[in-house]
Amino acid sequence: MRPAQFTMCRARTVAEAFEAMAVDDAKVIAGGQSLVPMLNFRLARPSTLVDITGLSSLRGVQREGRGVRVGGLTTHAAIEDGAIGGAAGVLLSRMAASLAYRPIRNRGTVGGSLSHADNRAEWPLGMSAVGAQARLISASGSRAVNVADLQLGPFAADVRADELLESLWLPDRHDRVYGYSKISAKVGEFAEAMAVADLGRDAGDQFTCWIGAPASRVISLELPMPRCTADSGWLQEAARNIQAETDPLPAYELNLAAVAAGRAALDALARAGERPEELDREGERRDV
Amino acid sequence: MYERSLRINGEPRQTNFQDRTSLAHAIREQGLTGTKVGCEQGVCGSCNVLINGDVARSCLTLAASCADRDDIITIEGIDGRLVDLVRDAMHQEHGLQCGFCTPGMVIAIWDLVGRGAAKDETSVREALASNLCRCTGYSGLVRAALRVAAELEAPSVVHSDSTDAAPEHQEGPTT
Repeated sequence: MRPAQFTMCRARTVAEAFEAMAVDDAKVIAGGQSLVPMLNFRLARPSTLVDITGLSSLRGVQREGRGVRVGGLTTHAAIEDGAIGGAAGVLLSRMAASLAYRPIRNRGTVGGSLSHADNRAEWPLGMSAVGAQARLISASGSRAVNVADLQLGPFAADVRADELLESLWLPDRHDRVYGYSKISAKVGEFAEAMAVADLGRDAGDQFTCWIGAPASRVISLELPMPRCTADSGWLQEAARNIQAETDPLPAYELNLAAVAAGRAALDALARAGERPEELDREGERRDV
Repeated sequence: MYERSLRINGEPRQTNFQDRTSLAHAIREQGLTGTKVGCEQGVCGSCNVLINGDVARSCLTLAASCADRDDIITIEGIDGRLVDLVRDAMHQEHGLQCGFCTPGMVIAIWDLVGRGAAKDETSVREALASNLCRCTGYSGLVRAALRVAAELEAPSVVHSDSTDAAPEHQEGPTT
């Protein structure tokens, strides 16, 4: 359908955005790749849309301290194309490549995605796994929230109605070895199960497993390294451990989560020899 | 509803639309009906256009967001050697039947080959998950994409296909 009527406000400054957001029933639109389908189905009927794509202070990727600051308006395509360097950047690039389709990635933004907080999407998982911290700004100031704490539940993020997710800060993870696995019914669809494996500096007996879908919010747990993905004993034990960390899930979904966890761990192991290029010169900036 | 300017295929077009009007509908209301409206949720790909050079879903873009700012190119306006190769390959490899998905597919293949993402059959099939085709079963589309990628890699000087012959040189009955 066509959306229900609303008024569009294209904010030219952050202050203008905050003013427009103060209107009752206003909704921020960035890339619109999650919001516009909801408008088209009339699942969302805001009175006012505040288009923030003109806010240049929310763009760009640059070195900051011992890490990288990524603007909230950074698109999934920019991350796919390698805007973020280092081991974290390689992981995030691979996750971006599995996110929907390229036309959607050209418009969708990391800030918008995290604010939307779909638990079956890539960024709540990926940005939690790399230890990202979100900077939320409002007319009354700013606050920092670890992305791992940002998602409260499906489609519920700790982003208030008067706040914008201005940027993320990603700490350097020079020596980390990451693996990734996504299980979905079709290429590009939301995940049935999705996992990131963090082997730390080197492969050992255990690894840190981050799970997004099917859990209602991102969880992390320590698991033993699997020998192979067909190890049913390992899968059953992993499924039990995952269930201990999440709300009750059907056995089929827990099994999928365990399979994704196992594949992610073995994927990490296969990559243990790689050393990706860093964005590590002070002041170096990529405009994306 | 008020008059705003949308830059489409290199020309500014003064047009009336509501804040809620999608770019797809605004484009079609300009008589540029190559861009299709299919699913209105971004999964079918029939609405593909280029916004500032990047492929995007016009059904998920609000015309009001693009007014007085963005450069939009539709299937009617995309030109250049690469798209000529895509159109030729789609023809040679029978990459279309009803034609509904074709504008979106041409843009999708143009983008994927242009970005160097058409490495092999698997990568092409995965990338073309972005566009739904109910007629062809994708084989011709995949062949077309790989054909264009191969042509870019090692351009052939002479086309040897007989279907390239100009009409006046064909023998036998014409239909």
